[in-house]
Amino acid sequence: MPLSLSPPSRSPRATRSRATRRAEDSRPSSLARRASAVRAVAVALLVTSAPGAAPASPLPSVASINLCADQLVLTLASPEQILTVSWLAADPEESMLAAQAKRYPLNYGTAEELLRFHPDVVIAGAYTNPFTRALLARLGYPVVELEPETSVADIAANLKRVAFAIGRPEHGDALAAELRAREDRIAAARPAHAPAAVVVRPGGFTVGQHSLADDIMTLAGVRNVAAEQGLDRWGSLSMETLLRSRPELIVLTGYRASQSSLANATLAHPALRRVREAGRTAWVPAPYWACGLPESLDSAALLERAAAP
Amino acid sequence: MTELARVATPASREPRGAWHLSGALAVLALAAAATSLVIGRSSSGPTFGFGGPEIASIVLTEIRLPRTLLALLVGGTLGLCGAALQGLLRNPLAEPGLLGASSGAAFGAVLVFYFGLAGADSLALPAGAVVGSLAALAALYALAGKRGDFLTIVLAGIAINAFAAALTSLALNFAPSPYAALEILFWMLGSLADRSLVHVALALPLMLPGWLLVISAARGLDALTLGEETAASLGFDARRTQWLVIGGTALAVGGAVAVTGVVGFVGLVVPHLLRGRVGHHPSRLLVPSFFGGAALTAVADIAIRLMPPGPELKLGVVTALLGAPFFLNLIVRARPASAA
Amino acid sequence: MTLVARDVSVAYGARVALKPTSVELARGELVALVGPNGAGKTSLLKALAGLLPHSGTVAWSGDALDSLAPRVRARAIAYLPQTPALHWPLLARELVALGRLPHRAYGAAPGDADRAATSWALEQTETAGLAERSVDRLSTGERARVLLARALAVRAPVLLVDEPIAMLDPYHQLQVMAMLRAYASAPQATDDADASAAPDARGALVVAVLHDLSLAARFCTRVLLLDEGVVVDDDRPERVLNARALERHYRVEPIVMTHEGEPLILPWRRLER
Repeated sequence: MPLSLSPPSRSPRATRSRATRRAEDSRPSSLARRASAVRAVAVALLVTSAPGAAPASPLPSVASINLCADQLVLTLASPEQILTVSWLAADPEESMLAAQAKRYPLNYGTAEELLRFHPDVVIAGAYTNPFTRALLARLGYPVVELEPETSVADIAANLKRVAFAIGRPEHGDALAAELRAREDRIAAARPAHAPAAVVVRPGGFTVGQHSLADDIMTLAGVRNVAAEQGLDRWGSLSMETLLRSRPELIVLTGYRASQSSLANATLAHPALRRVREAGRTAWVPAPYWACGLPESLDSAALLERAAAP
Repeated sequence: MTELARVATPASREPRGAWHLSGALAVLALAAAATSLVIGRSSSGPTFGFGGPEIASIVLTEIRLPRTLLALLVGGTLGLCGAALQGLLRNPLAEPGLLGASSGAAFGAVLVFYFGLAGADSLALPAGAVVGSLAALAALYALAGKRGDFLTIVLAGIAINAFAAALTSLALNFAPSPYAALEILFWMLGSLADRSLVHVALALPLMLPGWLLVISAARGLDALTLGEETAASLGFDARRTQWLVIGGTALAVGGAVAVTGVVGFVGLVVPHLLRGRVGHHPSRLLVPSFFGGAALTAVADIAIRLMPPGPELKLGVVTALLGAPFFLNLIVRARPASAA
Repeated sequence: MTLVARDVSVAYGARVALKPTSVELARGELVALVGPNGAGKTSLLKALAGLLPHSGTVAWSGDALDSLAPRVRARAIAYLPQTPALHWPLLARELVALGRLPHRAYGAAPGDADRAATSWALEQTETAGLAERSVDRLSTGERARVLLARALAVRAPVLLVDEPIAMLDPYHQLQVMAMLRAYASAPQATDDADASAAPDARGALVVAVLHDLSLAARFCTRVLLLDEGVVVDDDRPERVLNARALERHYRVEPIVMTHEGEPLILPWRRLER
């Protein structure tokens, strides 16, 4: 009987239910079968309990093997649920919740490691190593795969999805509601004039339409010049385009700014320096946009302030 | 001065010597396999044994066993096909990747990643790799099949490699997200991590016929030691030998790359190490290279698991790290070229 | 027991190397193919070996060569090219043993017959002392003799060799020519199963492309003189290798004499056309 681990408002990913069906079919041993059945019953009990009611059984134990999944789990799960998060979550250059992540055992994303933790549910990303995902599913572990967030609405959706999977749906709903409220507040405080802005990432990359960064910029009342010119998702930004667009606001995303690298060297380009002198600069640390979390909205507030005349 | 006495044939030079070598390497490969079954890797580094009792059987049959089997099968394939190609092209620098089978398979897999079809359960990824490998073979035949001489084939292989690499770079360039690009890159570095018995079942039906085709060309390779003309006079059609080796390599290597990504140097290094011990006979090099490649890959994979805690090193990286110094050594101690 | 060529013609693209040629060669003969460079000697030899596309037919013992299975043909006709290729540094003995490939079934280890043939071939070319050396450590002449031994090891009733003595020192040139003559004349020198059955079977047919006219005259039983793709003469050596023929086809003025009853032919002066 396939489990339905996603809230009804969002249809389960095709591979998700396939994964569960395969897990039912290809149990390697009776031990795994029994363990899986116990897990299935536990989670089924959880999802059928009414929202707001105290859960009848303990919360499922959670393992997370993807940076964004880690941070969502750290945000939503209660501490005793969390078995392990990936090593990236503990790196402050990658994660907004590094201090919190350090309290838990860290994993490197292999199936054998995860087996030793005996998780009830595994949260992964859509681009996590497909072999690992497949093997975990084959061994009977429910694997939730999160698509990368491309908008603030996606953050809310993933919050709800993870919350549902870890047996705390009400917490997810609450955080989503808070997110929505904050969104509204930020939108209300938008400046009248939307300045033209360009995001400059190390290596000369920028963000276009259908990306989290772009959505946050729109929310903050800032015009993303690259998106207006038709760039989709991500791409490179030529210095010429940068100069011709005459941006009023330059948004720099620092990533390991203290490390010297070719990518970081592009941020020292003279053309960029010229443009920055003519306008304003805002610094958004990379983790805010690498993954979608409630904290990501801090960057919207930051941009709003930078955009204000 | 004439020799009147008949000189007795030293027994060690007979093909039996090659069987002894194969036997020894097979034992080595089995020992490596046994070790590979009991060594694991957790978040805190290498582990020995199978973890707690409730996961032991799963760890053994679903994690260690497929990984070990694939290390042997893929390593054996690369060793065998490398030896055969070096025999065919009469060049000790030939490698299974020369014909474009690896890069074609890699491009097929990259396309699958690119279009987002590499979902957790789908066999689309290995299937794409197999299709890519066979497409490369078809392209090779289309380019070089008519003339079919070695130079044309080598040039066609180079062209296919270059083209596949260019297309792969193009796909990377237009990857839907940086995560997808990373996924592609990491896959191409070659790995055995988290492969399952499904992948063994997928690769084996391609590898087995490939091996058989290659081994059936063994005597033709020996005859080609004397050049195409003399080989023909001994009853061996150079074209037939050639397509047996190429077809077998494309199948077997395509199947291997489909499940592990691109693992280099094994097909180059192993035949080199063993060639002197089989008296430079191309036919006698085949089976020992199979077991040598299996052993080497299994050992490399064990080495990966013995590393300090951290993300797992890629197999292709380890074999390249082994191969590069080996190459330097080869250059430093190069023998004069054999007589033409 | 004859090798019969009928209207065999070889062309490389537009250039005709060998015009339609018919010839019948029998066992027991040591045949020299002589003629100036580019006369078509190698083309004729390769066509006789069945290694070259040609028009016309070549038949051995009544069977057309292309109708024979490759292995059967390989056991009947052994061939040594002019500049044999050698790609791997095998031991000399093992190189010679490659000549037994047409006799060995797939996967079979060399048998006693193979070992005997290999040893015999090494003795015949006086290379037994080199047997355990790697061929890339041999001198050019030694290597040439080992490669000839490889062709001998086939023990085929037909042996086609292209300039077998070009690289050899005078001692070994004489030795090889004598050996080839003996191979052609001696009965049961081959592995051919028909040898004992046919009543008139004699030794082997050996065809050699040669440039040394004295040796050709002294040792061969028959000489084919080719010029510009045509066999201009086909007879006993003393008839073919006369001064006039040599002046006409080789454009050299030779000294033709006898020494100890055997012919001695020395090219002495070039003739201007």
